[in-house]
Amino acid sequence: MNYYFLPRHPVFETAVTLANFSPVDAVGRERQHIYLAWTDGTRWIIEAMGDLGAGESRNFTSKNLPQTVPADRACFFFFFPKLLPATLNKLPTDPMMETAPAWRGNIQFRSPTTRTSYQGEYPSAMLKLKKQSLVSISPMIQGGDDIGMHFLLANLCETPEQHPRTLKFAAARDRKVVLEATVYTNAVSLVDISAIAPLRNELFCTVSSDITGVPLYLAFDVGGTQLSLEHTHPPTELFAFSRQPQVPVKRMKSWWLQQVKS
Amino acid sequence: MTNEVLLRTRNALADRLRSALGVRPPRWNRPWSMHATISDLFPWRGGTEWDTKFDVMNLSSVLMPDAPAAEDVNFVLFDDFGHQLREERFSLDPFSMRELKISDFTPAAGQGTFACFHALNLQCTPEFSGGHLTERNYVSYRNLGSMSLLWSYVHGNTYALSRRDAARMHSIAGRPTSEVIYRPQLRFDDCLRFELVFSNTTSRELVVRVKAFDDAHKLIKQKVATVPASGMVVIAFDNADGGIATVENEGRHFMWRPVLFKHYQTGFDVLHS
Repeated sequence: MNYYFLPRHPVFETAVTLANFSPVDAVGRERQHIYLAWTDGTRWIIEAMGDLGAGESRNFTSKNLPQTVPADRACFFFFFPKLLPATLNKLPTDPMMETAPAWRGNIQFRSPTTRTSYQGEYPSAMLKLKKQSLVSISPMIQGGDDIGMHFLLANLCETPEQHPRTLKFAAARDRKVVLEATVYTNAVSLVDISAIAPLRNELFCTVSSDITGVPLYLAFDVGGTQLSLEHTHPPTELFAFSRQPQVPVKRMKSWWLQQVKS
Repeated sequence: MTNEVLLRTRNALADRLRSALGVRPPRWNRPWSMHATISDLFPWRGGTEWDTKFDVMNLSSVLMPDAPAAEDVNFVLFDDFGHQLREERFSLDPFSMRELKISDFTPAAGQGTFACFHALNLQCTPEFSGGHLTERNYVSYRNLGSMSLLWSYVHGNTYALSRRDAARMHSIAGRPTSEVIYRPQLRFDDCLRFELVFSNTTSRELVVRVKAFDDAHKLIKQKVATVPASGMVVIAFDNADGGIATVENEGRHFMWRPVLFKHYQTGFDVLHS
């Protein structure tokens, strides 16, 4: 099963679209319950958000969340066929709705006049990762007088604790840290990276030795007339048909984590 | 190494036989050559309305940073009929990237596809165990009619062509035994207009059929187009009344995931479906 995160943003409204139809199968899915989960730091709070019939889809926005959800809290939506209690100590990670390509949702940022989105999911297999790390290599840094640049990291764990973790940002060429930021587990953390825009013609890396997740790059112009959002691939996507893709990735990540220094 | 060559040849042959005979055809055929690298077939848009940019990264220094090396890159541009327009070769320093603006390569008008091959032989590195380097990174678009200087990014989403050095390019797309339906898992009733861009990664002409549905899943529009091998088409729908909620596309292609452009009052969204 997959989770679909709804980020919170200080300027832009956010939305997530959930679809109860497969990207490839001809057969529709059965009716599913939709749940929203957020953490209070010690428990997962579970809100039932209604049902979705086979073939249906629905938008949920940051403006229309239940009033019980704190304004700064990221929300994680998921489908589940059974009724769930109001609190959980662990999020479910049942094998269901697994398709190739993955069963995705649309995660969107909205200004009053335009929108940007990506098709994404947070696989439940990632909730159980004990040792977490991140290496995101990106050319997607934009800048200029009228352009803002935010980095977002979505992280989700099985248990609800929110721990601080460290992200380091550097140009790939010299690996010298130009920005360090604290992010949190079980959150969609936002880091304003507009100040590093002078490095926009450089390949850029974002690393962490103690958190993983989905790294997102959000760019916007003043007034929000145009927005851009995309994530970086995990390193395993850079090569195909390997019999043991994790072996070189482990070595590659280890090098980047050691080399990016203050 | 000889055993590895035999294994590779056997696997590549088996993939193509399965495709030809329709026996559990694979989504992708493994390349013939151990030394081939793989690229997506990215759509580009030009003319007076669009510009397209591709940020080429030195991938060997990303993947094997402890042995950084300059990397030879081969960039191939096609028009929307799949005819090759231009080919460029250049070298990238370790840990560097190069911005390629399509408007610097092509005449003022047009649209098409491009591929990018990196000359990195992963077979020389046993830990990649039979892997091939793939280019499916980040392409960005700018609408020239907009006042905004922002580029909107989308990453590649499939394996399309393989190539070894300057040898002939080969499609590695598998061949399904029947039409395959693909349904983007999002809604279109929030935008004024939207476009689905289909690149044909196979070696033969294909037909794509797009069906548009309202919120009750009633079919309200249908469009059909022919896409030349290595070419592309843009299928557009006006949706100012928000009548189209979802779409699906059908064709003789595994996972034919279009690149989507959704148009709003002042800007646009581009995403892979």
